[in-house]
Amino acid sequence: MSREKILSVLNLLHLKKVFYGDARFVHLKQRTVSAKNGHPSILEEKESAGIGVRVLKNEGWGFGGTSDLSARGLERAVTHALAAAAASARTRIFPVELTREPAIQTCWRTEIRMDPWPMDPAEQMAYLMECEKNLRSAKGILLTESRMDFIRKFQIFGSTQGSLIESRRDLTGGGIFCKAANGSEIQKRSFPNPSRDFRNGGYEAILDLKLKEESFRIRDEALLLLKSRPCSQGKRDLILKGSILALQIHESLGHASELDRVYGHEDNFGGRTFLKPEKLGKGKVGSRHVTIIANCPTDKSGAGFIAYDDEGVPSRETTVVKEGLFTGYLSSRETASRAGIPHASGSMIAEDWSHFPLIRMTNFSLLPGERSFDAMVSEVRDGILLDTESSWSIDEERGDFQLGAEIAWHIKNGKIAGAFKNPLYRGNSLEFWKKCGEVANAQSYRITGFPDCGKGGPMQQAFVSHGSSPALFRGVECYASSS
Amino acid sequence: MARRPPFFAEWSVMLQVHDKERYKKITEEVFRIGKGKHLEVTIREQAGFLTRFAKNEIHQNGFRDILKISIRRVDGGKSARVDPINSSRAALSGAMDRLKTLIQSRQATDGEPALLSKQSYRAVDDFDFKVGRQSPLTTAQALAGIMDEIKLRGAEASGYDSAACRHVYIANSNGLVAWHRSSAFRFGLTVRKGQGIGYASHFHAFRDHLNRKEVLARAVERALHAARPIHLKPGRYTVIFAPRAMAEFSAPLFEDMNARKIADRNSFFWRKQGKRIFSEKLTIEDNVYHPEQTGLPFDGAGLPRKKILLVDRGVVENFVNDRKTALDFHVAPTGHGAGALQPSTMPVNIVAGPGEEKLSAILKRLDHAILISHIWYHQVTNPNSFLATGLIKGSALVWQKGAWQGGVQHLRYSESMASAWSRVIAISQDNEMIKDKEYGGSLWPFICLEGFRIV
Repeated sequence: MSREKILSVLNLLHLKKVFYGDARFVHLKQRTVSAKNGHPSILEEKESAGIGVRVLKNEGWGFGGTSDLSARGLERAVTHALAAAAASARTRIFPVELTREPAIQTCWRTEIRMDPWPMDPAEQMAYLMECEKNLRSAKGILLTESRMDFIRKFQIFGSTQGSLIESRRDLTGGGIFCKAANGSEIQKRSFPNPSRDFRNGGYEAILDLKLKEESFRIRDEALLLLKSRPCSQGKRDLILKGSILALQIHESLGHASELDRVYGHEDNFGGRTFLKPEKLGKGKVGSRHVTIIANCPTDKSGAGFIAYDDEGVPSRETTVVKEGLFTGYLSSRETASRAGIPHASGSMIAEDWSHFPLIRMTNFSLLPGERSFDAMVSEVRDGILLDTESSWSIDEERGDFQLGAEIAWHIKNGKIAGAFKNPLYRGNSLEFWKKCGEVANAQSYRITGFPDCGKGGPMQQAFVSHGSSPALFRGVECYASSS
Repeated sequence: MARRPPFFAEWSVMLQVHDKERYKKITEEVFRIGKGKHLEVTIREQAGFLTRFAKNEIHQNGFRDILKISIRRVDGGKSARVDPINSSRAALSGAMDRLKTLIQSRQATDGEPALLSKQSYRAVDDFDFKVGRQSPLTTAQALAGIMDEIKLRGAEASGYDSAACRHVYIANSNGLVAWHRSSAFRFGLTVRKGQGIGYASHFHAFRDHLNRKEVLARAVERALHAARPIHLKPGRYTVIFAPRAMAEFSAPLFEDMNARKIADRNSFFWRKQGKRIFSEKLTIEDNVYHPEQTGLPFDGAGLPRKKILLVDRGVVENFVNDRKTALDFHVAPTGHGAGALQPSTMPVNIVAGPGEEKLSAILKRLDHAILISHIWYHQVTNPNSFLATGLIKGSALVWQKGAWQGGVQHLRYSESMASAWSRVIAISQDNEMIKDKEYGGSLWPFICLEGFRIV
């Protein structure tokens, strides 16, 4: 697929006098290597390519996607998009306007140090087999899994407004997992989190995770949980490590700040939001310690990092919460214009060429505070420290939630005093973030990348990342899943 | 020179319905390039369109045509899989080279069974030629009528409408050929009217069975019934799960009905086979051949899919397996291997035995009940007891004194799925097919449970 083909699609759209049109060619490559219970498991490579054409004509949006990249296939995708736009226009109530954005001609790519693709898959499998050996090196371990994934996404985006952007993203993820059993009691631990941790990068991202080294700790903690008591019920001081704080940020403030929810686009699937437009610039949604930046420019290794979105808009640093005040939405060109916001945030992402882009979190991070993590822990009299997300559940407005972690560490007089199993906590997003007493400093800042943020109906998946240092929340209701 | 048809001719924007000859040609080319290697080719093609609407207007409308090819090579008990970028000779040859590298990188045998030989399949009738007459215009016209009706009622709706045609073709170098095509028509919406929220959806493989106005009427009726807000204290209640809600609630249980997971002690059902752990009223099978079901008569390796009795009057009877698991444990294969078609081995065509009375008759017997239409963020919080939490989506309806009294929102439950299934007190005759995944679906009646825990 060449730029010429994108340009030929755009020429066709000009001829059809569309108000706006764009074409995205996407070529995806993925390698998965996994081991399970001490044996090699999945070994596969997938490749796909196609083009998605999006048009806006007579106030109606239309989309055509095809894996047939012949001239006939491209023409058919355009025909489909135009027909769909004409049909959409029939029900239009609100006029569609787009924010004015610059035409961009550029290329960008992820920086990688170790290209995973020329590597022998046997070497990658051998690394996982060592993780497996470490995880299984104690009695009581029931099940183990280790996995790494490499994804290369090459994309050419062009729009009728003159943008032409080529990009190459390399995403690498890995993780280990084990279950320990004692009779019918089963406990699990995973690292860095159950859905693996993804970064923009090459094989160096796997080595940076230190899966081999961490596998002993994960094994021991799974065994420890079998002997641990459930977390007792009550209001406690709670410290969330990045491995669960990422999910708290994601579910309660990330999705809530997507502007399409205000206009009901997700009402039938992902719900609405408690962040109503009248709160913008006025509503307190957190304590002074809470500052959230979307498209965080310093988090380029985050799996959600993009330079330009699937509308060709630069991924703009957007302060969603500033010292507790709600200050910004994630937006598309259409929704930003409708809300009177001068520029879109550059957050429109499609799962691949075959999907219509949606407003998504990219890098969505909680800025660090001033004191060290150790100093923060030392002042907790009776609290718990949670590590690694386990379950999550939140209401349609992104308000009331319950989250679970794989392990809780009891903090007594500033020191770790043992583990609790099956910990859960709950609250309301608005109140919860106001209880944030402190965020640890940049020394303990890390970025967590998820490969599987779901949105849309039928669902699309996207890579997102959340940078954070551990944070302290005062007086949160904690309990165990059995209580 | 022949005149080209007008650009917007309706035929050019309808869904293309292919035949299997093009898939046969692709697989023959793969086997030619593979020169005697043990190869299995899976081809999936989907053509469909999706319309999403919000606040009574269409905001997304699109087509997509996807062709996916996946090649698996089996060699000396080892296997590897590569999906080529397309069906060109260069892409298929490249895939063959990659398969050679991947197979060589496996140090030891995985005990992967040799390829299946030719099989015969029972037909599943879930393809409607009318899918080829669908276009965005026909959908938009139908939806415009729905929007008009919603506006007349002073309500607001958001939802989706989709139509798709799918082909799955599996062939291997040992002579196996399996092919199935299906169609799918779906419509679902959330209606907001005052304080009330009503949800309803419908799926059918045949276009004429999809009655959008009936779905709309159900959603509107639920929104109207829910208009009066009711507050419920935490506690245990009698609840009625509508088919969609029960399909969502029970999904994690079916993921554990996998014979490999049982063997790994990685399933809730470990040591529970043959035991009555659920209500005697509950009988569930996995049966793609049920007249109201949809799906494939074979699994990801081309093995014929069998009807499997999973739960018989509350007793856990059987689990599903893939071919390797069946061989490893010397049990009969059930035809549920994932292959390139689904993420894991699990029952995919759930049929829960209907009861003998209508929902209306069940309601007449109840003093107080909560009707749950849809749940979300349903999560297992304790796998040992299958304790789960989640939220009721939209409004749950409160039934009392022989009538719907109003709606409750933001309801959270915390309940063991297994324990809930042991407290079934009634099952309706009326049932509904729920299809959320690419292949298969769940046919559920309304299930009435007592002592359901709201927190």
